[in-house]
Amino acid sequence: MEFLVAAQVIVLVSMVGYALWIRARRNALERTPHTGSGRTTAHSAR
Amino acid sequence: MEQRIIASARVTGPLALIAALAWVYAVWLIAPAAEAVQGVAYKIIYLHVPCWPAAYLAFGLTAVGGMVYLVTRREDWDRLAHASAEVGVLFTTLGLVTGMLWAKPVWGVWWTWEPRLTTSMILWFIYVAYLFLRALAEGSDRARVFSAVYGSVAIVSIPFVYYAAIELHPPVPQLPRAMGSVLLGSMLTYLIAYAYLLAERLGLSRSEAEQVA
Repeated sequence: MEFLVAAQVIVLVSMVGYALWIRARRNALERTPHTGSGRTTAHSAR
Repeated sequence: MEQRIIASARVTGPLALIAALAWVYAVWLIAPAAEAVQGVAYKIIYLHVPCWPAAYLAFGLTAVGGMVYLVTRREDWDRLAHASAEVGVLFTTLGLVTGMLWAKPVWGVWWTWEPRLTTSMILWFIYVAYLFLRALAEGSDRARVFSAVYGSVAIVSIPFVYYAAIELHPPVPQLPRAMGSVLLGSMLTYLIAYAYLLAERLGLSRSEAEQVA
């Protein structure tokens, strides 16, 4: 029984944790000011 | 294409949540309580087996993304390949861990170097190496091309893992109907979870790309 419980907890925590980690990183990126060089824009303009 | 996959998270997210709740309910309350030989530990089948179709699908998409990138040089395909590989490694890791948690009560050991387990671990190493490669050489076109070639070639390892798991496996008796239904539902749940995690991870990759553009 304990092995089944452990496996169930590991699967659920891993998937939810991974989804939350992605969300947190994405939110942090969206709050950070744009740090790029503008290379793509300049290149496109040429 | 990329935008559509990212937007699909709005549908697959709630769907994954509902499927996960139904899956937990089915594993604990609908599936037969115990099996004659393995006892209650047999239920780990519902957690372990579905990891592999999800991982194979993920690595298949990594190969497709890599090949399309090599032809078109469109970075969204490269991002798709990378995102899918990362989610695939998550499922492979879960497959290995749940496999060990199943092996211990049934075989008495956490791990044994038999073909199924060995080839699965090799598959894990191949795609962890892919992620390391990407992390170390992120950003350059050469790194993207090399990753695409690697991801396209790495897919050939899957038939070996599949062969080891299915053909070299001791004959599996036909699952009773109730067990088969819950197993099928578990596979569907994992595939929905894969679709959701892929959409979220792809969204992150695109945000990262926009940040450095």
